[in-house]
Amino acid sequence: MDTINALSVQLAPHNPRGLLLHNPVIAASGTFGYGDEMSGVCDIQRLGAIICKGTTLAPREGNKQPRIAETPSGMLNAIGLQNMGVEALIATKSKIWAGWRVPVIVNIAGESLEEYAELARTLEGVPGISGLEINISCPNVASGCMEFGANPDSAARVTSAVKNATSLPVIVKLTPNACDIVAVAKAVAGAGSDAISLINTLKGMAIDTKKRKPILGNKTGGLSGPAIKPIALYMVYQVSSAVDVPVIGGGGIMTSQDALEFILAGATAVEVGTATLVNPAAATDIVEGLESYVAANNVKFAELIGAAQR
Amino acid sequence: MMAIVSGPGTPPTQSKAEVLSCNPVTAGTYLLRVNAPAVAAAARPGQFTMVKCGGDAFLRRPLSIHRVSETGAEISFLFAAIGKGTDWLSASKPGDTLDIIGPLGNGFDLHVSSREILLVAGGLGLAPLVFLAERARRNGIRVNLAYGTASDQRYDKKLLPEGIRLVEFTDDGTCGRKGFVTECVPGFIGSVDQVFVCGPLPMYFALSKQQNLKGKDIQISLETRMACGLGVCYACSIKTVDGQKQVCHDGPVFRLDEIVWNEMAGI
Repeated sequence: MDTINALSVQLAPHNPRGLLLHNPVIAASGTFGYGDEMSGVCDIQRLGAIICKGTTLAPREGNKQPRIAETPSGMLNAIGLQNMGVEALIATKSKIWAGWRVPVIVNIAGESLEEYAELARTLEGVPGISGLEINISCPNVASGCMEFGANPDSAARVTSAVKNATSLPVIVKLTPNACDIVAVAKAVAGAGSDAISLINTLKGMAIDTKKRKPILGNKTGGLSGPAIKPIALYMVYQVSSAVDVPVIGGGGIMTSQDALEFILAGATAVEVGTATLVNPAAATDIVEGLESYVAANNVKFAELIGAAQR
Repeated sequence: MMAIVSGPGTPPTQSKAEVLSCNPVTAGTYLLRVNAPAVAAAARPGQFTMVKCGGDAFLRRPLSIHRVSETGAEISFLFAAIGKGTDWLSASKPGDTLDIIGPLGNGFDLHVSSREILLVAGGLGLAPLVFLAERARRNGIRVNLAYGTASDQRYDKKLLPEGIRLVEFTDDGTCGRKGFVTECVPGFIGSVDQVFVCGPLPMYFALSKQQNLKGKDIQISLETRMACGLGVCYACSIKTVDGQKQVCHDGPVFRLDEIVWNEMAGI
């Protein structure tokens, strides 16, 4: 069997347009820019999909420096959604994406329901865009984002607002900084989300003992990297057994073994984020690792999804 | 303006570099030589690499390229062991392998028409300026190097490229003139075509306040926290008069008058 086809996954089975990936490995938003920056250091066309930097209606400057801090087995970031804004994205990036084999998904972030809906309307019909990922999970902005993702009702309202404004497949990215992530997942699935991705970063901080103040300019940031993997894995395990839409798992995935754990926990696909910052070829290495695993074990990829739940 | 070392460079590559030597220069600072032909062939003065460190260091460390060997296969780094990443790196042994990505960033813009230049190095800011001095000398450009350190614990001047004029400063007066290295810039500014500065932020703050340097071709190399080094994570964004720029991708070399300095205090 062709291992390329053997790894293909459908992330929007209930959407007429569908979201078919050649393989389940996705470059996560915020760690892969707009994709083109990475073309020199890894074979981006080998990826299942690329999710671009979180995009807002107007350009954003982001937070003041310092924006990152290294932590045990991971890092904190408080970039604050610095991005070029949706108009510049359409003008400068979508044409590039339209020529790619790899599908690109745009991560959208807003401060109000109307902003999310407006972003979805603006991106409707733009060539080169295969789906939307709703960001209701960024912990580093003063308003919007995680405010919506922290409770089921507001998460569902954002999902509905976007779904009503687009024909594109919609993924909702959840925050672990919610009291009950399973309840949020059920609410967004009920509101029509085609797929669910989790987790975004965990809110945290680091303090400079010499200056006696927080290291990050924003004081708090989002924790990512291997440090959060067991938490993310458990949340993926819980959520994927509670909803009937595809789940995209992520949080500290560095290797194909890590990715496999998320798939066995119930994820149909995985997002690779912080690993890319350390090793630009991390995601493509994971594609190869999964291909080898499937071939060596003579197993259908679909049989692996959620196998640890059974 | 024709330039010797500017313009779009070769894309970076990720490669395995064999350690040739790693020796202390002064207490806590090291000279690390590695075999990295692809990086060496493509590198321009002022560019840097992201080096994967072992131990507990999770992120790569940005290290500027200090020298490229005559044979073109070897690059070296001059760095201080100041944390878990660089501590680990300082223990490198010949035959070890390092995972490096480079060359990264824009590099210095040295004009082919320049006849004489001034390099201003504060402490380990010397690192990328030695590479620039070598390239400038090779092109027949007269090079003045003003080198300042806290004390006489400093880079051995016998290792500097031949044929440069060295002006030495120390904070405590134990070597050369007592004072800050930036003090010499006004004296040179009328006779040199370009000035290149690398050192800690207070050096740049001091220079940015000097009115008689306005409009001069003064290039500086910035250092910020970085995660990716490739322009995708936006950790190293700074404000310039032309909007936000990324130190890793648009820099690390900027014009002195391009940076919005009052926004840099927190870095």
